Amino acid sequence: MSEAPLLEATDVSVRFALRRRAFAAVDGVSLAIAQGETLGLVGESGSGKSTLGRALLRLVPLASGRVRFAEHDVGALDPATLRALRRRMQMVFQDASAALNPRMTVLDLVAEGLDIHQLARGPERAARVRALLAQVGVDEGALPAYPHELSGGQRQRVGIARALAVEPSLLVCDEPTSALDASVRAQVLNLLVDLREQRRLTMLFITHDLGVVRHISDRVAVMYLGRIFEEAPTEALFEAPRHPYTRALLASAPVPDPTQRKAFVAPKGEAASALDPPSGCAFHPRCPDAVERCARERPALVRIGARGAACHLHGAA
Amino acid sequence: MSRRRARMRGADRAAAVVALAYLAVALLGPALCGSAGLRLALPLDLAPPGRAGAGLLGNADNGVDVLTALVWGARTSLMAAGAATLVNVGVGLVVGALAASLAPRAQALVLRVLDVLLAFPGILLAIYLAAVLPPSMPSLILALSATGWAGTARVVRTRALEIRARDHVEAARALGATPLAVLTRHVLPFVWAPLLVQGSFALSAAILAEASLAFLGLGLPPGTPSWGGLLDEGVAYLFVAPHLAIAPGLCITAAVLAFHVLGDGLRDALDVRLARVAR
Repeated sequence: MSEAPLLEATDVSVRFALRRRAFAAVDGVSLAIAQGETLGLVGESGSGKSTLGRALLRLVPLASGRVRFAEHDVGALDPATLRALRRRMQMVFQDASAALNPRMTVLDLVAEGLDIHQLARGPERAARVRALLAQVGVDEGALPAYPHELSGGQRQRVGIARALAVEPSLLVCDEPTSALDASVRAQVLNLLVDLREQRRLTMLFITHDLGVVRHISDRVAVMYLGRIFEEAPTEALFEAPRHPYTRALLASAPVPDPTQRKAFVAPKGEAASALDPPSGCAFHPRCPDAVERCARERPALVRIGARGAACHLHGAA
Repeated sequence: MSRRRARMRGADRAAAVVALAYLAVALLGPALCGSAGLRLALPLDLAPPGRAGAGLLGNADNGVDVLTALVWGARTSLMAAGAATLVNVGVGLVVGALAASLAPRAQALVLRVLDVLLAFPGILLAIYLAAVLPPSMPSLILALSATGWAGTARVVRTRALEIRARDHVEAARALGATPLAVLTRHVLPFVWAPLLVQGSFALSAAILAEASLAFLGLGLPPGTPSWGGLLDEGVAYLFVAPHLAIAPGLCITAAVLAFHVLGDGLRDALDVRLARVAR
């Protein structure tokens, strides 16, 4: 890829304070997403993947590091420029019933971006909303409805239409299908894939569901306790995971074939807490391959070609 | 999420009826009963109800008709307490909403100032203000609304912070909404319900405070008919003419109770504590 990536994060950290103690929800993450690419971001809950997604859109403040989107330094923009730039980077939320204002109708919800950026008004506004609803597969009879009158799948479709109304080039999807029934999940996922092709969207797809990430991503980044542990093209990651954490994560995913039952190497114990991260490599207390060095020294993410892993044992491989 | 209809229990409905009746008397009563009963009628001095020529609720000092005085007193009390409540709710809404938008440290500062105001016994400040200011309706309203808004501001701030943490507010920010648009379109629409409840309690407290000031002879020019003033007279003649203390006492109690219970009922009906947001 000779072209500069659309989104590039360099050494991004996000800190929160909990009971007067600061902790890093995201700790020195660097990543890049090329124009038109979909990067899957996987990790257990508490790994900081949603926070990272929000930090990239500057919905939470950066403690350190830089985020570059197109030609803008997102972290350094003044509020007015940032608001104008938001047209080009949108977000789809996990829980659409919480992310849609319950006192607004579908028409006003989807049109909100049009109103904010003064893209359309009057009949043009309504026509644009109708076209968007048609694209996401919601009947236009839903225009005067309130979110609680819609099904879960419809609500998420409305949330997608709202994000697409301003014609963004980057779409951050934060677990967009996790709150949906299995039957609806595939439909919404396919809708996102279709829309991505039609609109040539660049995507950051945040999920804990490995099946989903394999289906939708070009590349996958695996996050654990605020750091990226492994990054690889999707098939390479699933075929030959390099980081012990990735291997454990893949092994713990259910296989829909009872004859394929493999040796179970689930990670030992619970994920460590970001409030009190282990020394050295954050995964070493649970890692089956840990050596003494892992407790002492934190491995850097070493990139070789398209792949990268943050592990003392595999970094040089 | 079970969806309850916004309905009130029997006691709450009774309170609503009493509150409405009180409003109706304050608005229409003086026009209906006129001011003839407020004139001196010395033969009826302290006449109890039932004596020939006496009013339905008896007569007060110098023969003033108690019922007429109560009706006019209702108007005084509603005007003063109602206006003080509007000030309370308006100032509380603005301060609370702004406080919720501040940085955590500035918020902490505002909260400490509100704490000081809340720690100060409101009625003492009201007595002081009513005593030093020239007796008039604006002075009375100022005295009645001096500290109450601090409690309202706290309620508004808490609610606004709770709403701000919701995803739909983040979604609006992600769309590029200005802070003012976020506040007016995505936060304030969820603040009205607790504000209505708070306003109802504030009105109840203001009625009581107004009666207290009038009882002490503060706030309004002497001779203005008021429940508190009538009660004051009643205390002076408590053993001679007990009817004089009982009637305004019951009026004050009923009005304060009605608006207080109404606030409780509204809170349950609007499900404020359960934070039900569906329309």
